[in-house]
Amino acid sequence: MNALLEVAISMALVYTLLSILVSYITEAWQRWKRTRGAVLRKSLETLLNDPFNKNFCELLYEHPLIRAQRKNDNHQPSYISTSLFVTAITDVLRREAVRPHIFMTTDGSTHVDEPVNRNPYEDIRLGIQSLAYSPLKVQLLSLMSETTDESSLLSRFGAWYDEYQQEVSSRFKSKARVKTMIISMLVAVIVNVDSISLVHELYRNKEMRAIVVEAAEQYVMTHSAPETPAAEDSTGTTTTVSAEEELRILRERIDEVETYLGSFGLPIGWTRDACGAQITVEPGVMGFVKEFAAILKCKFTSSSFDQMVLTIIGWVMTAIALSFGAPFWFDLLNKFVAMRSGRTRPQSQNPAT
Amino acid sequence: MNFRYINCHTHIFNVKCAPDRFIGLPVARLLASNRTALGAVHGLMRVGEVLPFLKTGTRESIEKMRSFLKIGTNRSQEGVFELLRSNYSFGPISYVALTLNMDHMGAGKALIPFSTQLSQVADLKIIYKEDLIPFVSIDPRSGSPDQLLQLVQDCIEKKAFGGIKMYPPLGFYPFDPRLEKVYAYAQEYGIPILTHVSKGGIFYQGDHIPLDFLEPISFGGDRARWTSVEGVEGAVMDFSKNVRDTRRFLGKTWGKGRRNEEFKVHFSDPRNYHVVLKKFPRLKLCMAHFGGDESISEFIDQQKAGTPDPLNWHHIICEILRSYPQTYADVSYALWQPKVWPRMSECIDPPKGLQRDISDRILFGTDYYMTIQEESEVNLVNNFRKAIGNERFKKIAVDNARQYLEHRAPLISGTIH
Repeated sequence: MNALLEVAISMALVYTLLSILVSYITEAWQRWKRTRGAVLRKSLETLLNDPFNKNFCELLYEHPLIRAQRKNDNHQPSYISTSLFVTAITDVLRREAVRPHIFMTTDGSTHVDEPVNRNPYEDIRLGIQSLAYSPLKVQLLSLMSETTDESSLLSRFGAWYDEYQQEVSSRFKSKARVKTMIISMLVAVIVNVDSISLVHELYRNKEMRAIVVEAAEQYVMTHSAPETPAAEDSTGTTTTVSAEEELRILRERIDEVETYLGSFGLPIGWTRDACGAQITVEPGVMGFVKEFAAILKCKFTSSSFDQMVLTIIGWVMTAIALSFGAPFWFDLLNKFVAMRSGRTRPQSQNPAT
Repeated sequence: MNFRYINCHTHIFNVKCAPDRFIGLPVARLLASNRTALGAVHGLMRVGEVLPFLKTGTRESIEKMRSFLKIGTNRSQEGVFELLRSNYSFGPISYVALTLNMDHMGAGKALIPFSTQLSQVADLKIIYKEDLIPFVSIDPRSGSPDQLLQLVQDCIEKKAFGGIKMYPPLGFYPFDPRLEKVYAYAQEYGIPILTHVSKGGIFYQGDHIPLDFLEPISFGGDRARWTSVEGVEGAVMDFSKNVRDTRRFLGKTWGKGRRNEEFKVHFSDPRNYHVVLKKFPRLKLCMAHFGGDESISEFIDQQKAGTPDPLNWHHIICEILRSYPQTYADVSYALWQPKVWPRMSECIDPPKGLQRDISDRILFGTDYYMTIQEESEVNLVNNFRKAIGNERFKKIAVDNARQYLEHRAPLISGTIH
């Protein structure tokens, strides 16, 4: 029973460390591809779709309030707060009815005069009513019919946006899950973490198990629950991370994984494999790719069919485990360690998503 | 300095305003949808050695296409406008920004429909005031005659637009009866209209050929008739023969043979304006491109050879300008071609003994950023200005332009002193 628990602790530690790496790579990928910004834009295109009037999403994105969120011409904000959305969209709608006056003086110069002392609630209503019939107009009018003044209108629009964003968020998460799964698989193969052989080795090797369990206990004591990496803060706004910073953080994550896993003598990685020793290491990315391809070829040509299948199943199991995420494995690790030592450790203050 | 230069022909709409198939070449379309790929092409072009198999001409063409797409894929119309302004070191200068309604050209759907394009340009007018003179694009298929008139009135009177833009090759004839009310309004208030008259440019790409393309209807609901072409004066316009008889073209064709691109000349033919001007003789109408650089080149060659062609578009436009004192022509796009410069100079400032009757009605325009495919805006303007001389340039870019743009339409809040 104790041996099984120790194996579970060891596996949870391995999965925790690797899933931190996976979640970091996933986030970095999303940051680089600007996935969140693109998903938000697409979702707003759908929400404000109006084939009979204007592209209100474009007008919203070109509104000075939203434009201010952009870092450069190619950047799309990954997050638009409810208040910002409501203020900008109501202003866009208001401008359908009320536009600044343009005056020309006799010398040919142009002057602009913004109308004053108007009722914003009525202006928004007029703006919506001025639109040609469309599903969006019907939607906006029905939202408006539930309100009596500007403040109730703003909160109703806010609730409408929030409800929609929740739906979008769940759609985004399900897409992100697929990406996480793919990256997990890549990590499992590149790092060569075959869960079946790992469990087998840990169960068989008592000394190795003891070292890993001790490290796991240390890890739990010294670390808090892992957070989503620097790309997003709690409000979802993207922070700027340079390419150098990105690489530095990635290097740190890899070093941490190496420090822990490398010192245990676990059957992880390629160089410890019989094949790895036969390959000459070349510098650079191409060298790495060549080396990796040669190792894979060597591994599969020197293995029997059954071994090959088992290895692939082991990788898939690792990938599935890693896709659960670092917080899940850290939490489990915490529970296993507590179970073994007969004490409970306080839960982390900041559980990540 | 108490004057302002005016570039009477520019575009600031970006690729978001254009329908899916606006850009014909699939590779260009792909690049237009991906700025990273566009940057990669630029990178490859910069290290030309990487593409040694490309001839210099091909490389230049790719680079020009890339420059064109780089401007077109700008985030916003404001971004394109800022790029335009950055090309001019002299001034002050105003730019006539011609909007374009591409919703009915049969090339798919644009991310930004015309209404949004117009709305954004109206906002830019508020920001850029005198520097930007937007023209509202009209297409008779976009609404009823009253709706078209309302759109024009709204833009001119409430949003301080400077005039009206027409682009017939997108699939309509300028004598379309649905435009009658707009013409009447424009004539009454002297509102400038600018229309595309050249054999180049974009065109209607729809799969089907409507009957009124083949047998066009003119004002009063009658079949359109030629008014001033030798031999066929008064004859009914019937283009169905061309469609039936031309079967040799390959590629995308209209049922019985004629390709869209071949057919577009019927829409942009300057003779169509005889019909319009006969009914609205005081219409302030500018025929953009002066017939196009090809027509002007042909005209020059024919003049030299002493064999003038009465059907040459440049010749027809000159005749129209002579017949109707409120008509204009601009040198946009054609000005990239050095061969046409002497002819332009001759029109602006004719040698002694020749009539000066059209010299006050030639306008300066570049057709930014369509011309990027031929030459950069800076070179285009500087070369042309150098070729015709500063005085002539001032005449077409200041005096003639001011005369063309003046109108009497009331702004909603009137004029204050």
